[in-house]
Amino acid sequence: MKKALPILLAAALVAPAFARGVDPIVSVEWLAANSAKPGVVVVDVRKVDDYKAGHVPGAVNVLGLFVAKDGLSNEVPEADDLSEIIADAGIDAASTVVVVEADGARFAWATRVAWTLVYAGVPNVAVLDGGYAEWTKAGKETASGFESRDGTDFKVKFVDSYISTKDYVVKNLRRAQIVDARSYDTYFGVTKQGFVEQFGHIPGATALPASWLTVGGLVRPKAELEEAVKALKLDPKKDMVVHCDSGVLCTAWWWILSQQLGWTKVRSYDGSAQEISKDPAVKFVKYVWK
Amino acid sequence: MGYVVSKDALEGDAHFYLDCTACHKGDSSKAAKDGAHTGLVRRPSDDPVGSCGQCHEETAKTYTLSLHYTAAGMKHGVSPRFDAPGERIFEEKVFQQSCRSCHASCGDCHVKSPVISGVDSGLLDGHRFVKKAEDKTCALCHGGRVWPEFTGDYGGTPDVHYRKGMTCSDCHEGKQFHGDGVAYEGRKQVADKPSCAGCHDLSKLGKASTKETHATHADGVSCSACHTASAYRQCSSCHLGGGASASPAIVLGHSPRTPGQLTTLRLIPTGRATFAPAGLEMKNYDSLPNYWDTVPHNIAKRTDRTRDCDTCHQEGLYYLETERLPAGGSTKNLELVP
Ligand code: HEC
Ligand code: HEC
Ligand code: HEC
Ligand code: HEC
Ligand code: HEC
Ligand code: HEC
Ligand code: HEC
Ligand code: HEC
Repeated sequence: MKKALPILLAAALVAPAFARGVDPIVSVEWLAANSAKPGVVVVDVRKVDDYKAGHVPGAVNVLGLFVAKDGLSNEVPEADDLSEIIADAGIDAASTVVVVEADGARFAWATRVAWTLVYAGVPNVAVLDGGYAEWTKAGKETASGFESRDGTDFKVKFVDSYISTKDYVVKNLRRAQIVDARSYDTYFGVTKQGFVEQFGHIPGATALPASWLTVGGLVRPKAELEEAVKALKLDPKKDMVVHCDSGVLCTAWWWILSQQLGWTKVRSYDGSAQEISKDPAVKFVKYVWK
Repeated sequence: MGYVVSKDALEGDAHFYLDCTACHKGDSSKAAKDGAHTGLVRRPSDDPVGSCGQCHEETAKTYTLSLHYTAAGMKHGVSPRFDAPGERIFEEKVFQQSCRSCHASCGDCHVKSPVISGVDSGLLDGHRFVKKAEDKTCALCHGGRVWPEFTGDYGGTPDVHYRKGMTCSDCHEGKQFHGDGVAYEGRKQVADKPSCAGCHDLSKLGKASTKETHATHADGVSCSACHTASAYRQCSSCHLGGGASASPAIVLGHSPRTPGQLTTLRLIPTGRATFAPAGLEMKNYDSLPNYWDTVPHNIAKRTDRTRDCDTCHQEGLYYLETERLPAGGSTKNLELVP
């Protein structure tokens, strides 16, 4: 007994600081059983036309949760705009929200929305595993047209420890673990997006491609993902910043690390390479694996 | 999908009470494709009166005078730049052969996706005659700017109306496109068209300060000047040449069509030499400016201008400036500089 105690304590330290009321990734079966429960809001983030053509019954269509701003492709909207979008969708801080994207290939777009919601102060958010494609594949009921819910008076209360700014990255360049969720080719420096200024990656960054997360359209089992990040020697007790090219893909790994594995020191950097590659203080390295 | 005429459509759609040949001609007594397709008409509704007009008589008649059919807006947007003989040559050599070719048939909005830059996505819904399918019709012809502006596909902000589930025909009704029997010269003249104030009664909306802002600017500033969320496409890359760039931007200046109003302007792609390859000179090039007033389709309640009056009143951030005018452009542009 004496020996077990410190281990339990250590476990308590890395465990999530909050009690989640819902798994961060839910299955079609879970959603079918729970979507009509009071307090559950299903948020469909596909294009309006796709949503209108067919969606999970009761789901509301929500767009504009990440926007272009100041030359960056995917930024968090201004607090008042974001509050209004969330309130109009019928969500408040006590809601259980399930985010539905098109399919597994769009997992990161779902987590980008999910990250935005938890960052805005709605803690119980889940992503539908496999998205709407999985829902229809399972032959579940669908509805068409446009649905809405009664608005709430939700106001955002940002959870600052979920986000990284450029300043944070620059200040913690040597200290924090930098995780690069882009493809191996991009990380290695043989290719890059036009809007990113430099080839390669932030020195010392660990490559952890977002494309590893799903297989056959579904998120890989938690144990498998945990094994992969452990093998890469990522440390849950040390500060960590996940980035990609423009702030979408990185939220996929953030979602797993922070919300599923319960790591409390992970931040997602929405400006990502698009922003930081323009900073002369940060010199990317290429043709190396570290 | 594609070209397959679905059995469902044949059974469920009243139009297939007619034989294929009633609309498409050809020869149904021949079994082989070559024979059967002799004299085939691929786009029957290019002749609205002769095809659809058999039953939709009124619509077909008025449609032949509408802007989507005549493309008169594009013509009159350029023709004043020519002298009389030049205009005649323009009409024959350029307009009829090139501009007019992107006019819309009835089928382009109701039966089959229009072919854009050689890409053909086929029938809308197994040849069913649908009331609307905006993402496969309007979206393709207006895919250069309006559609992606509206949905946020360029990485911009989705229009607030799109976020609320509205699409094109919630504002632009069938009537606007089918026409009313008048041959208009441009979109501003069209009688049946949406207007912001037609749906929003500003005397009743928002807090007191909002009401006051709306009242002070009612005549002098257009809705889009304040509510256009983010940069919209400028066509400068295409033909204006000489240092112009394709970068999206917001440009505020005097409306060339509503005197005294500050509004959003869009650079249009007609340079002095645009028709030189056709051997045409624009003798009256300077009679029209290089910008038209435009209503960008990325409306938001809050923008940097609604948040801070100084964006206009102190900084004039997006104001057209003489130095920013395209080199060699129309002298008329100067009148648009606020
Ligand atoms: C033989 C007569 C006939 C011809 C020719 C005809 N239509 Fe129709 N159309 C009808 C009738 C009748 C209806 C109403 C059907 C109904 O209410 O179900 C209709 C309805 C429609 C509708 C509305 C469909 C809906 O979902 O409500 C569209 C769009 C349409 N027609 C387009 C066209 C076009 C375009 C053409 C020419 C290519 C055309 N029609 C030619 C008889 C015709
Ligand atoms: C085949 C291509 C094509 C399709 C399909 C099409 N448009 Fe157009 N549209 C045009 C062209 C070309 C013009 C310019 C016409 C002119 O010269 O004035 C135009 C002009 C317009 C205008 C301004 C003129 C007016 O009629 O008031 C509006 C508004 C418009 N389109 C909306 C739509 C909407 C909404 C849809 C779908 C329901 C649509 N368009 C489908 C090609 C198309
Ligand atoms: C009421 C008139 C009408 C009838 C009847 C009709 N069509 Fe059509 N069809 C159209 C229109 C309209 C289009 C779209 C082209 C256009 O804009 O005019 C079209 C397009 C097509 C196209 C695509 C052509 C291309 O190359 O782009 C095919 C294929 C076609 N029809 C097959 C058929 C067949 C097969 C039948 C009989 C089962 C049939 N149609 C009956 C009006 C008709
Ligand atoms: C919320 C209402 C609304 C919606 C939705 C809407 N429009 Fe418009 N649109 C307008 C208004 C208002 C104008 C300006 C009319 C005028 O005064 O000429 C306009 C003008 C246009 C013009 C001419 C603009 C120019 O700059 O020359 C086109 C083309 C057009 N709309 C296409 C579309 C298409 C395509 C869609 C769907 C993606 C769409 N609209 C959706 C309200 C709307
Ligand atoms: C630029 C796109 C466009 C073109 C071209 C067009 N329409 Fe339409 N049409 C519409 C829209 C938009 C509606 C309204 C849809 C709605 O309200 O759901 C409509 C509705 C209709 C309807 C349903 C009844 C009604 O009037 O609302 C019929 C029938 C129809 N159109 C026939 C035609 C015919 C025939 C032609 C050619 C002569 C034609 N349309 C050309 C856009 C177009
Ligand atoms: C066909 C009617 C219609 C037209 C035309 C129209 N709107 Fe709207 N607009 C609406 C509706 C409906 C809403 C959603 C209202 C809501 O949900 O509270 C809306 C919402 C808005 C909002 C957001 C209001 C809020 O409280 O969040 C703004 C801003 C706005 N419109 C501006 C415009 C401008 C500018 C134009 C002209 C370019 C325009 N609208 C044209 C119907 C229209
Ligand atoms: C000089 C700038 C300006 C112009 C011009 C302008 N607006 Fe506004 N509008 C505002 C401001 C400021 C607000 C308040 C935004 C906020 O609450 O933060 C507003 C708010 C609105 C709202 C939301 C009101 C609400 O319920 O809170 C609508 C709808 C709207 N405007 C429509 C229009 C329309 C339609 C026009 C053109 C007839 C127009 N506006 C012209 C500045 C402008
Ligand atoms: C899109 C640019 C723009 C924005 C944003 C804007 N204004 Fe204006 N404002 C103008 C223009 C242009 C005029 C002159 C209009 C005219 O000539 O009728 C004007 C006129 C006025 C006037 C009338 C005084 C005069 O000299 O005629 C007042 C007062 C005013 N604005 C206050 C404000 C306030 C307060 C705000 C912020 C809530 C604001 N404006 C935002 C462009 C703007």
